[in-house]
This record gives sequence, C-alpha cells and structure tokens, in this order.
Amino acid sequence: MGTPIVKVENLVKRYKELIALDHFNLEIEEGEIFGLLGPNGSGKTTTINCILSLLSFDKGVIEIFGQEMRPDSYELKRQIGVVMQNVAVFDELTVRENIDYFCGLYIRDKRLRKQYVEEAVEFVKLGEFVKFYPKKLSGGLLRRLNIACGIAHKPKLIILDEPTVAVDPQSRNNILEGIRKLNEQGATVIYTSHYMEEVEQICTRIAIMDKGRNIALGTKDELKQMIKKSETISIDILELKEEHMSAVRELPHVYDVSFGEGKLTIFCSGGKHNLLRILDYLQKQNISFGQVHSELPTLNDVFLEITGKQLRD
Amino acid sequence: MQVFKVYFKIAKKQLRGAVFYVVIFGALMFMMSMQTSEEAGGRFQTQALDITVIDEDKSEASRALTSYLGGIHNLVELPDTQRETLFDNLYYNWISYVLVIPLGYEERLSELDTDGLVQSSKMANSARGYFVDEQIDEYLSSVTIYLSSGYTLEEALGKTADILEKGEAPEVLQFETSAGKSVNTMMIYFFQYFPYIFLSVMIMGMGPVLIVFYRRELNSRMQCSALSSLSVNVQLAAGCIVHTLAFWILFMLGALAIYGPSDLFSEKGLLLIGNSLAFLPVGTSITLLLGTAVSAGVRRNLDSILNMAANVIGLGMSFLCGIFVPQYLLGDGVLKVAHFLPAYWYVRAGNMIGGLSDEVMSYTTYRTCIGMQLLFFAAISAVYLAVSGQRKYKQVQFSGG
Repeated sequence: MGTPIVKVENLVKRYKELIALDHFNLEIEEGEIFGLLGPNGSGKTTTINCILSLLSFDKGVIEIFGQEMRPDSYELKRQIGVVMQNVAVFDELTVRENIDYFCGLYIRDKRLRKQYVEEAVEFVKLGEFVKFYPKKLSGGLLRRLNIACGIAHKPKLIILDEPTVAVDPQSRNNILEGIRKLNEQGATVIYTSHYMEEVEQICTRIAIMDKGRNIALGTKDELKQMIKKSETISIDILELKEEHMSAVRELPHVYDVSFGEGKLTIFCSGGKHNLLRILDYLQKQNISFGQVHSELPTLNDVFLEITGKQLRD
Repeated sequence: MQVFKVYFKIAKKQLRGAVFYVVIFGALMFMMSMQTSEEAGGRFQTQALDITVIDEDKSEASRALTSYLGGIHNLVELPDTQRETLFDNLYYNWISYVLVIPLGYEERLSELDTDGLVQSSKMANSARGYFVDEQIDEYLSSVTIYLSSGYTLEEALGKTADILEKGEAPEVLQFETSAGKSVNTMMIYFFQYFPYIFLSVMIMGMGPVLIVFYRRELNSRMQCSALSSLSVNVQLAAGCIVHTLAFWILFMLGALAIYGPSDLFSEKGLLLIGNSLAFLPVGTSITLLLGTAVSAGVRRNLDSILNMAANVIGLGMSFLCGIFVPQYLLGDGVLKVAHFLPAYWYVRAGNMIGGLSDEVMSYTTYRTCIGMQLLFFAAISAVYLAVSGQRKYKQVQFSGG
C-alpha cells in the first residue's frame, strides 16, 4: 500500500456532552470508492465536515494527499470535489451558470473552464437543460446539477455526502453509474450513505459507523465474513414435526432453525451446498414444500449482528 | 472575480423590485420636499393680524421691531394700555396680540441677551398668537446672528429688515453668515429623505443578494473551494460597495437633474453631498448585518421578512430621527432615543446646513455629525462581524449527520 489519499487518525469531535466522533480512524487509498455507511446520526457527515475543515475538532489528525488538512489549505481543496447532502446551487443562475460559477472557484483559465463546464454538462446529461433555472428542474435533475457543480473542476478526490437522498430509482441509478465512471477516470471517491444497497453496489471498501466510531472496515465480502450468518434459507412447508426440525438443526453449517406460519427458516454459517443438503433431506422424508428462498447476508445483517440494531432504525 | 460577477447577476434579478422602490419613493420624496419647502417659505406671511405694540424702550431697536411687525400686521393703537383694557380687547378679539417691548430692550439686544427680552399677551392656545411669537423669535434671532457676526446694531437691524422683507427664511440668513451662497430649500428637504429611501432600497435590493450568498449550503460549498474566505468576502464587499455607490450616484443624478449644478455643487450642496456620503457605509453595514442575522435565524419567507425589516428600520428611523417629522417637533424623550440612531446625526447635520433648526452652522458640529455616523458604521460593522462569525460556527455545528 502507498501513502493513503485520506488519513484520519484518532479523530474526536464533541458537541458539549455529545461525542459525535470517538477516536475515529480511516485510511483511504488512491482509486478506491470508499463507502461510509451508518444510520442517521452515526457521525458520517461530521466526519466529512471535519475532513473538509468545515468543522473544527477536538483531537486527532487529518491528512489529505499526505498533507495536514487545514481551513486554509487551498491547494489541497483545489484537488477535492464536494457534493453536499443538500442541493447547493444558486436558484438565480441557470444550470450552465451554476456549473461555471462553481468550476470558476477552482479553475481560473476561462477556456479551460468552458471546456470543463461542457464536459460536466455532458457527464450528468443535462445538455437539454443548460438554460433552465434550478426551480424548473425535477428532483433527480437537480441532484445531477448538484453533482456537476461538485465535480466540474475534475478533482482527484470526490466526496459525496448522501447524494441520492429523495431521488427516484432511475436518477439514483444514473448517479451511481456516474460515480463509477468518475472512479474509472481516476478519481478517488468517498461516498456516505445510509442506503446499504448503494454502498454494496459501488463501494470497493466500506467503513460501518455507529455512534461516531468505526465499527467494521473492509470489502463487502470481508465484512460479511465477519458475522456468523452467511445464508438464510426459507422454505414454505405446510406442516413440520419437531423431530424434523431437530434433524435439520443437525445438518452441517446450520446454526439455527425456526418454523412458523407455514415457513421454515434456516440460518447457516458459511459452507457450500447448504440449500441442496436441506432440500435433499426434505425429499427423503417425503415432506412436500413450496417456494424456496436463499438470501446471502447483507450489510444490514453485519450491522445488526455487531450493534444489535437495524441500519435504518 | 466569480463572486463579484455573480453578485451582480443576482442583484439584476432584484432590479425590478429596487427600481420600483426608487421610482415610488423618489417621486414621493420629491413631492414631499416641494410641499415642505413651500410650507417653510410662506408659513407666516399669509395673514395680517391686528396687534398692539407697547414700546417702553423707545429706542432705535424697538422702533425697528415695531416697524417690522407693522409691515406684516395691522398695528392698533389703544387709548390706554391698562392691563384690563388689553385683556378686554384680546377677549373680544378686537386685537389678536399684544407685544410689550420693555425698557432696556436695545441694551440687552446689543449684549445678545434675548431671554425674555419682550413680553407678549395673547389668548390661551391661540395659533395665530403662536405665529406672531415665531415671527418675533425669527426677527430677534436674525438680529443676534448679525450682531454676533460683528455687525453694528444699526447694520444688523437694517440687514434683518431687508432680508425678512424679501421673504427669505432666517435659516438662509444663518447659513449665509458662515457658509456662503444660499441654495434651493427644496434640495435640502430632498437630501433629508435620503436615509429613508437609501435604507429601504438597500435592504430590499442588497439584502436578498446577501441572503443568497449566506445560504448555509452555498456557503459550505464555497468554504470547501479553492477560493479563500478572504477573497470571497472581499469580492462580496466590492459588490456591496459598487451597489451602494451606484444607488448614490443615481440619487445624485436625480438631485442634479432637479436642482441643477449651481445648487448641487454650491458649498451648501457639497456639504449635503458629504453628509449623504457619510451615511452610505452606515446604511450598507445595517443591510449587511440584517442580511446575516436574517439568514442565520430564518429559513423561510426571507423576502417578506426583509420587506418588513425595510419598513420597520426605514420608517422607524425616519420618524424617530426627524426625517418625516422635523426634529424640533419631536419630544425630548424621542430625541434622546434618536441620539442612538445614525439617521439622527445625518438629519441634524442636514438641518444645520439647511438652517432648518436653531443650530448655527458650524463646521465643528458638521464634523461631529459625520464622525458620529462613521462611529455607528464601525459599531454596526463590529456587530456584523460577531454575528457573521457566530453564524459560521452554527452553520457547521448543526450540519452534523
């Protein structure tokens, strides 16, 4: 591993009695799409605000591109693009004027800026709307404009703080696709969300946060391996005797079994061919069954097992 | 210059509202200045009363005063000047006013001792009697000003008679003694209304632009950018200054078009211009403070709140400080409160320059008034910086997720 692009060490942030960040640590490598996942209030935005020097902190060190990040680190800021949780554009400017304005905060050369603005418009597919004012745009288009304003200057590090909140599924997919493209073009991305599906979908590495702490860190597979559960199998069965339940419980890798309302639920920990083994047993016992579902663990399961609560509590 | 350019792009969107204000208030201001100046010019000369003057001094000065009053009113000689006879005449309205010029009048006048110099009798609460009092005060004040400027008593009496005969207000006379040529009184009133229209237009024109820039999300995004906070603030300040100056120049062009260069660029006109220039930073800092405070405390209906603030601040200051109601008609309590408002010092300077108050023109007082306005600017700016810092702190503190 080389020098991390972002390094956060022992970050502590207090709001009077409340500890928003509790000795938080993070290292992000170049080329990653790094996901910060956690429920509302877990400290994701506080972390981002500290990284961007929008917020002072009580203790710790933040380094970006190997240099300490400070409010006046303008050369570092030049290489960072930010897409805030709330749409931050001028209602009084058109789509193109907005992108040009924010790009102009980083790029002074007029010709280069013009080129970058056009590329950003193209990137977020807002070509038809360049003369529109934000109030005339739908929620999804507005989010795309918000992203264009944050990335037009071609930053090396892009920080997106819940950019898909209140966005329709189609726009969400467009946004996620765009983030992947930016990453392919060489940008390192920090992506915060409380939507585990999104994080699973695009992030190469994920940190799960709770109460200002980094409770788990790794790729999605690494995270899932941290927990006991690896597969949940549910089978529709009309009737099941206790002796059969016990027999299923004795099958390899099965660690828990429950039956209720015509559904047998089997929790397996790792191993292969769990489903085949169970179905084979049921057939041999002449137990008729209906629909069969097999679910792999989600990040929510990881969060649930570590904290005892749901991600979206 | 991104911020500077966008400042004016946003300001342009507010232009319609600002032009509306300028046209409406400009027209009102012009009409009010005409109205007020007409009142000021002819207020005591429309009605001749029957008055009696009892001259006990029989001096040159007392004769001059009698002659002056005789030129305006009908002098009625009574067969006897017994107290009861006088009261009977007043009671039956055969005469409206009795003036007694006591022995020693000329001597005391020469020594500029005008306190209780003459005695008068009139019906209680008589408005007409009040006007005669005013005329006598006006006369005595004119004479004393000439005397204090080094004229002899004879010259002072002559000049006073001349100038009052021409119908010129004594305030012009006051100014003439120290600051040169007189100018159109209407222009003085025109300038008196400047704080009101300036505050209203700035709050309604500049306030919304500042609020846009102070919006939490936009502000955060700009703080994340490669543009330093200093540069953002300098560009915003430059936008405000150009905005303010543009309005001021428009105002001056209005004054130039209405009153012409001879009045506007006279010594008195230049002093009024200087006074209005001193009020610019005050008005701008009030707008900045208001913009910051409103954007920090309110998230919705900002336009309505600004509109309300423009009215409260503009009208409130105008009434308390003597823009709409002359300062001499305001109660002592109100005036005491007004001392703590910048428009008071603006109006006071304007009154003094235009001779609309008893205050004799003095450059020291003028400088004091200008200095007080600049002090208000400094104080409001300090509060603005404090509120601005607090807003920045709050902004990040409550954005935590």
